[in-house]
Amino acid sequence: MDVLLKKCTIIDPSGPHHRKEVDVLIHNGVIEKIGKRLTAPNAKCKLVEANNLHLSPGWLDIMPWHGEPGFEQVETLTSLCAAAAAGGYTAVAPAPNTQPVADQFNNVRALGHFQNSYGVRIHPLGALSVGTEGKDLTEIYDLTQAGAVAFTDGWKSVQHSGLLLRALEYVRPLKRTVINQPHERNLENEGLMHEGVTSTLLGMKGIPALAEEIMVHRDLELARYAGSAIHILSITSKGSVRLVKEGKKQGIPVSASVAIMNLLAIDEDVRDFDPAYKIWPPLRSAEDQKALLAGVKNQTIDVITSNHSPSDQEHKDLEFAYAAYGITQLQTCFPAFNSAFPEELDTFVLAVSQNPRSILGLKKVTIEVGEPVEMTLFNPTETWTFTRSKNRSQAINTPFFDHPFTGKVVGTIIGDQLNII
Amino acid sequence: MASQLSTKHLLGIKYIERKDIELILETADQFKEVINRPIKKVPSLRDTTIANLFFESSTRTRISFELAEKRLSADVINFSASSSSVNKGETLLDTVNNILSMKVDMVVMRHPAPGAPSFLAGKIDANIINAGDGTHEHPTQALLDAFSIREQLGTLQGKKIAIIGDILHSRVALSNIFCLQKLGAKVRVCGPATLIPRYIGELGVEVSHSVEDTLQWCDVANVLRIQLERQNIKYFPSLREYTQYFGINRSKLEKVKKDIVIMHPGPINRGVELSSDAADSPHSIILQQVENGVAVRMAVLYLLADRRN
Repeated sequence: MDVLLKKCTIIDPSGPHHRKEVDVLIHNGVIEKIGKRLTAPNAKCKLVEANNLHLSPGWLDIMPWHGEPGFEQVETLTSLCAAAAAGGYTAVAPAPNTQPVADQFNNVRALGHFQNSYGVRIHPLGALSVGTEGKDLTEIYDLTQAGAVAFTDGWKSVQHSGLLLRALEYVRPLKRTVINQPHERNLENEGLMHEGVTSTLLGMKGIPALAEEIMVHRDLELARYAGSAIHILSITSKGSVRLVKEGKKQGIPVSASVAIMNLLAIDEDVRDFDPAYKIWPPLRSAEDQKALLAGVKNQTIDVITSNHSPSDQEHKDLEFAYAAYGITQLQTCFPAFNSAFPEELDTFVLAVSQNPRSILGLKKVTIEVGEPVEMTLFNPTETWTFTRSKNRSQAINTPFFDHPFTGKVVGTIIGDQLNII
Repeated sequence: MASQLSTKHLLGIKYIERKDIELILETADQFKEVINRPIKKVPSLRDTTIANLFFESSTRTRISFELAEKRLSADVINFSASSSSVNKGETLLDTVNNILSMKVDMVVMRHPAPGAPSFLAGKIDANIINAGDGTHEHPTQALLDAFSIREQLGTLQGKKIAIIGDILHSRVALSNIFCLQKLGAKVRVCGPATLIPRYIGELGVEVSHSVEDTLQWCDVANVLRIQLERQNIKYFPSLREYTQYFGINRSKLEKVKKDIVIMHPGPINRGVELSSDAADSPHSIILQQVENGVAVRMAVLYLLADRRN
């Protein structure tokens, strides 16, 4: 198959054609030509022309949640891939928190081989502990053979320092990264949201930022001791940004991510107990939000995740205390970010393409002649409205229905497959 | 004075204005006179059906509301979680919608989840009165406390009110803070540091950990119940120590060379936060609070019913 992309601006900050407006010709899943005024080689060649067309290396999301197996009524792998493709993602590394969890050779292998009509690539994350119970290590060598690219208990934070240390040491020869979401449960304080003036006004106990920061500190020290790479997932506070920055400066092999909503919203958005803004990890203060954004800009924070947390209406549309955490977010991550920070397009692309691939030990994707194709097409200035009928996730837990956005995904090309939204 | 409330629900004191509070208190004055007549009933809510939905156990608040409703001639239905389909897994919204389809006009609700009444208010038409939502608010308690203080001291303007005890788990504390501040009083909270929310000072209240010092400071001591049922974590080592250092008793009161009004929202853990010789002392207005509760709730129901159309 041939595809000709006409007049597109390349956003590939570490590639040779960054910010150039060119035509790109693809032949059988490989970039054949990049240049001006290219012509279609044959009549069957698919032509992609769009206003202000941009293209970048394909986006990859770390830790979106889905429910296959175990919670298929919430989000299947098929609907996850549909939402991912509609959101511009060419690859996902989904959370292992299914039921059963991805802690066995066969589960992980099946995940890696999952076929979907969008061609979205699945890079499995293997569970770090059996059943993600935080007690015993999984068969990490075996899971690596099955295709696991990194190890994590996903949205279950590893509480046991000894277990995390053993995981870090054990994966070191395999050159794999351990991913942990920092949250010291004993400091959670029965909270449902960030501890601050808003939680006080709402009469709710709060989760102090300290519960996260103390574990960021622990994880940095464990990674330093083990000499092994750790990815600190979804940091939310100013203190965590400072710790990660300091850790990097000291040469600790650490990377960090932030969830999109922590860049867009704060604890005050919970307002009158709006369950839509009940999110894990919690939305924090305006000061934290500012520090996170600065952290993304100065590369302290490497990755922006969608923190895709689908939930069914029955579990979300409830009193705040009982409502499920999270937003179904894969499809709206880019438009939401781009609407808020249009000047940070290069930062976004790095944070969803090159950086996550590097953390997961995947081959770098570059827009260059001879390179295999995995790319995202988008228009950063198009305005549009996200509606229920455009939603591709199976879940509808989002505050963004009927929300106007600037920045629209045009499609993806993965290997030989062209998906136009 | 305004003649109508600015809101159709009473979800919390946080959401209403000073003029609303003043209107409720002045209307309650009239209802207090009514309930002390030989014939205690007025026909004001004759065509109104009120559902008391108690998803959490309550004795005095439920009885107080029911009495207030009956004194206003409303039709009343009672519902409590133990006798309901909630135990069968029904959601709050389904339960309430089922009841509302039987043509109920007003809902008085107690619920363990903070914000549950706000959640309902966005989804149903009936007037909602929050009778306590978890650790959030208990607005009618704050109104009756303000009414009782005003009755004792004439005004709240400039008065020093201490709220002593388990502030962290108390919906009464938060509603009282909002209500007292709106009426011009100065508020201090006092208790063990683990039972005081870290950011409470940002609401403009003083924070103290010394009961002796606080009693010296205040005109009114509103003593809160230790909410052991809400404490899944041990916030203080023992009741013995709590009583010794944070309990109010006669000897602590006698050391203060002035009269302090003693209040308690009930039920009292006698001998824990309040000793009997303090609870039953001439300075205690605990039983007046209960009486005033009926008058204040009549006022709230009456004024909200007025907003129905």
